[in-house]
Amino acid sequence: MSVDEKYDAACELLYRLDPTKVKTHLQNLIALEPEIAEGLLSSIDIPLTIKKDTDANNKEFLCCDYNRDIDSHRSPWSNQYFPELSAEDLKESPFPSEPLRELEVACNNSFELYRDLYYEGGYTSTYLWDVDESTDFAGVILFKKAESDDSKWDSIHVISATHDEEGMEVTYNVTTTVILHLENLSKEQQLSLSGNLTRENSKTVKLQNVSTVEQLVPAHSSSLGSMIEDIESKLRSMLEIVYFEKTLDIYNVLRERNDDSTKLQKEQHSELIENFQKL
Amino acid sequence: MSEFEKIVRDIVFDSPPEEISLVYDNLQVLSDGQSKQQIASIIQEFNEKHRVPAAKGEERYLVSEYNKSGSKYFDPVNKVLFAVDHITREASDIEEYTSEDATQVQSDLYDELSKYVSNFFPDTAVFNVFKIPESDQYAIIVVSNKKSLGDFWTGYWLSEYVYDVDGDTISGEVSVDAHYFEDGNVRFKSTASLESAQTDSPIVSIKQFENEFEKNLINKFQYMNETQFKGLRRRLPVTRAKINWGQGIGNYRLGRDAAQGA
Repeated sequence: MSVDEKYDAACELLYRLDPTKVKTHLQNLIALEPEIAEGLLSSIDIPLTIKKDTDANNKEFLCCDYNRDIDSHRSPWSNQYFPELSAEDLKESPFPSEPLRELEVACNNSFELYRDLYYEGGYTSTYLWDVDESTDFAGVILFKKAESDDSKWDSIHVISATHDEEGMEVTYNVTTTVILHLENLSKEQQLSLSGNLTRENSKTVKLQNVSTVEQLVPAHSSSLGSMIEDIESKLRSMLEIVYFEKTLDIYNVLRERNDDSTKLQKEQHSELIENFQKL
Repeated sequence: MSEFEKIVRDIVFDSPPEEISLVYDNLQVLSDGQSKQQIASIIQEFNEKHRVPAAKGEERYLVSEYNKSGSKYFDPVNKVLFAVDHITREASDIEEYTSEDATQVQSDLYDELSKYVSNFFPDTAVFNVFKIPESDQYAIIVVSNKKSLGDFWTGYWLSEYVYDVDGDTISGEVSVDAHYFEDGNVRFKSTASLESAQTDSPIVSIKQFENEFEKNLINKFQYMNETQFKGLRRRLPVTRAKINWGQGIGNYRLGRDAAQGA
């Protein structure tokens, strides 16, 4: 079997197995076939972790594979890696170019505001990186809210922004995954609802009256802002339907009441339909 | 246990019960088709533990360690002996089972259980009563499994109890496992235990316990939706309007900053 076939089989398995154990399964699958490690680690989303930026009053920032270098993560606040990397390693570490860093700072500021309005708490971090020495860029916008071990939300938006040749318009592509974990463990009954949904979106925006870098920053940050706001609103509704309606629908076909009162109702109902059809 | 066996076991035992044959296919690819027998025997163990039904036409039979006889399984109430393909879950090679008659207690429990299951479960649900070897105990089992892979879901209900004839006590557990996987992977699991209780009518006790399970389940769903889920992310900001991302963005103040008068 080729490495590609094994990679596909591993991805399929990760879409079947218990999402609360995704980290263990990821490690296991990599142990079975080390060659699929890189592909799996960059395509399978796992819950975000939190670190503190000691150069920015211990403000928390979110960590994932996209802001990682060796075992350190770059903070969007001070633009430094934590734990600190050696001068030697740091030479190779990725940082956004100066104009892109400016946009990164602006996005972090506006998403802080968004986080406050929608999450009323939690954490956010945005990381951007340059693409091919052009004005195009890519990045990831992250949110995490955990009320306790019983309810946790992680949203991961992987974005790319591509300009057309004339520089008149820009197309944003966004792949969003929300990982939502809810559980209710009481002595008499345990219940858990856990997993993730992924959706892709894209939008093309005209760049009107935008000619300087100073104008590009607010143009990009507000386009990304409204796009993320729309996507999260839609996904939140989908999550609500899947978690609280679809799963209960499945339960209701597993155990369905056929006792006399419902049988009677069904009979009356079909009788009613028959009578209507006769009319 | 080899590292390979441990990993396969972790994967198989974490699978949605109705998706085992697909998991088997993926494991075949990952192991270059080298370990068919080993993977199949772990799946057999999984099927027995989950009392998975094997089908032959309309007939459906449960498999467990209680009704195993060599490489085959028996159904003492319906008097059949059958073989099972654990990957496809097909029953075959069906013979009449003559070695042992069902006891009176066993037949009575079976008849009562049959009435309960027909009232509270779909026609496809499978149930049985097995005598637990070398004891005065019976295992009472109900399985209801459904799937629609084209609509991206599978579901599994298993409830199992031990009825002790001498002590007139019953204990057991219900577990529900549902999987929804359209553009994602969402798993819903719930379990509850019935602690050993005195009973003069085991099936009535089971019915009460399972109705209670269902009532609690629906209450918990409601609490999770209205309290836990809503506490994570608002549908809209307190202002009930979407954010004005244009030039007006500077007019918003972080709640925390505003509170501090920053």
